[in-house]
Amino acid sequence: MTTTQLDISSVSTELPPHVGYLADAWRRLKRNKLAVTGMVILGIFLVMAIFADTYVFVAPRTLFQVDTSQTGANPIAFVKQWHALTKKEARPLLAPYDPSKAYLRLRKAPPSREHPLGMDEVGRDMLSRIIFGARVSLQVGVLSVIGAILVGTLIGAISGYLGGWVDNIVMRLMDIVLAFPSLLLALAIVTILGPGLINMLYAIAIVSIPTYARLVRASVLAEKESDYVLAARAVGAGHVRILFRQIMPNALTPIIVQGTLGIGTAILDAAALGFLGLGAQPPTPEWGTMLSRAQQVFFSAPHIGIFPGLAIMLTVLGFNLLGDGLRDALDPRLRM
Amino acid sequence: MIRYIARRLLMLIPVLIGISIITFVMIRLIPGDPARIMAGERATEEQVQRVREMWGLDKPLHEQYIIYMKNLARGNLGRSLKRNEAVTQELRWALPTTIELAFAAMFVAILIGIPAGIIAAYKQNSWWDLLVMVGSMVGISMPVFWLGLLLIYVFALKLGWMPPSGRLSVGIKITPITGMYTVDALITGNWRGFVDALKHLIMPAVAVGTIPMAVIARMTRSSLLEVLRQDYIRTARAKGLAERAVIFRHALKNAFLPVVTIIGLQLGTLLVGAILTETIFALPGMGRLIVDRILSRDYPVVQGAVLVFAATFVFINLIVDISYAYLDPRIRYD
Repeated sequence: MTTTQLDISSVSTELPPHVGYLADAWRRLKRNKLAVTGMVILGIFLVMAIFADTYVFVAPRTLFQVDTSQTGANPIAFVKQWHALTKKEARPLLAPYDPSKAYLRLRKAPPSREHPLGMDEVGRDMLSRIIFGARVSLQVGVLSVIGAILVGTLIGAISGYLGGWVDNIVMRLMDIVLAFPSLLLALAIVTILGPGLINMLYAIAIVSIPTYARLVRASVLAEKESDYVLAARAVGAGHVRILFRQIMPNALTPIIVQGTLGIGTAILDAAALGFLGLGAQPPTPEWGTMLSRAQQVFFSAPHIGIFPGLAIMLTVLGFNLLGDGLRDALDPRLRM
Repeated sequence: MIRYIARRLLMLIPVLIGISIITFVMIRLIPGDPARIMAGERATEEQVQRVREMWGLDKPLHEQYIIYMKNLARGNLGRSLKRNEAVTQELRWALPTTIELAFAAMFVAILIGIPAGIIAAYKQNSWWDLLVMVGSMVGISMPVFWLGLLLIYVFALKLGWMPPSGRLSVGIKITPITGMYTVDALITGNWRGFVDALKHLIMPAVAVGTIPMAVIARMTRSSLLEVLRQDYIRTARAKGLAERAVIFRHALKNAFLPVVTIIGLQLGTLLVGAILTETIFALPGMGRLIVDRILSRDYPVVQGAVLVFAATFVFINLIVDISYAYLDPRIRYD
């Protein structure tokens, strides 16, 4: 009788190499085809937004041209003047034409070799306007979500950590805000502030605050009584330190996921407000505003309406795909 | 059950008060004299004075709020500047228009979303599955108003199958009772009117219903896949039941509760969709009214419409919550 002997010489006794949480998440994200598609789409729009004109190349130079005797120590005035100077000096780079220059003879011209996406209702190059529109939409989406996350996190963290009547009142307030469909509340806010790009940004940020506040509060409540927090308290850590160094990192994953999806929603809301004539005002090349203009000429020149809508859809799709991918990659437990 | 309903009704009170405060504050936050804002830019000094007295706008803020609530209790939402009639009168026909649209959209969403989700789960990882998953992702990302424009372009202008906008064709009359034209036509036995109203409703309903449809399809799929992994399904399969019977007789029932929940959560999407779609399809509903009057600075109507819109939303949510409690007794003991 022959005995087969197990050859263990080739079996490694070493542990697999240590993979950090983020590296592991990134590995999972890369394997997700849909998420990669989302990242590619967003990458394209991001490049469009950044390199639409020479803005980023001019900015370092104009920084030194700001007249500080005019702006004084006011940082907002400083940035405003810097932005205005840079914008004045920037020349189209990726965009083939100036997005606000109208060629009257080419009004509503369909796509051609010189103008691949055609001309809009006053004779501006559609492709250039779409490219510059990426800048407006991404800015509105990202800035409003960052604002909402900052305020929402603060509210949710404090409310959850303190608990008791503070928590009760704050959360009832959030419930009331959530009782409004988001766009309706945004409409109400725009009514108060008046239409415009910046006011729209505020409105969109305000309506999404409760989402983040609730998210963070839930994480804080879940961790508040855990042993490691107790340990931190025992060694004498202060409230602020416990809250922001011990508890908050736990809320990071849901915030990142919700934030990514939230940018998509914010872009859709911004486009909707622009479309209703209550967001960015013409001649700003904002996709929703462009669609609103296209409405009257849609049936004689459909290309004016099709391309901005397509741009909105692709960008939002990109954020949705990436957000879903991030949820699966960062926290496999949340997979639906 | 009754205790649960009573508790939910009690919880409604602070929310409704909150809504009333937000709409109350809204007009007072607009820069300028509230009396002039409510009386309109072209009002005479005398008219402005009358509005100021009626709403107590020269009194302290908390007294103003009490006056506002008293008027609200009497069903007085103020007067519209554009039409010079009671705000309630303007809302009377706008609200049912929006509700009819929302219901029709939900019907479309369920009718297509649930079967699509079942097929995707049943044939997991097939082309069907991919089609449903990618299609629903695209649907969620699509701007509603853009979809509306495309629908009009293709089905009304190019193919001529559908009327492009409005609620009824010229020459068709419906006696308004509820304000929901399809319902009114059925009540009065007006068959031609019903078909015409329905035809006008289809495209807006598809536009509004697309996002909920996508969400419902995804939820049905994932919920069904979850249930199909359970032991009792393995038992059903093991005793030799056909896959069809396993899904329809055993799995679906348990897979539906999350789907019902998500359907309820889509109400907000529906109402928001209505705001955007009504403008494109020229439907005289709440959404169009609000947008219209923001642009023409008819603030009393905006205020009243936002209030009624939000309150409707809250009440429908309440009904949804109560129906869950009915479907799933565990919820009652939360």
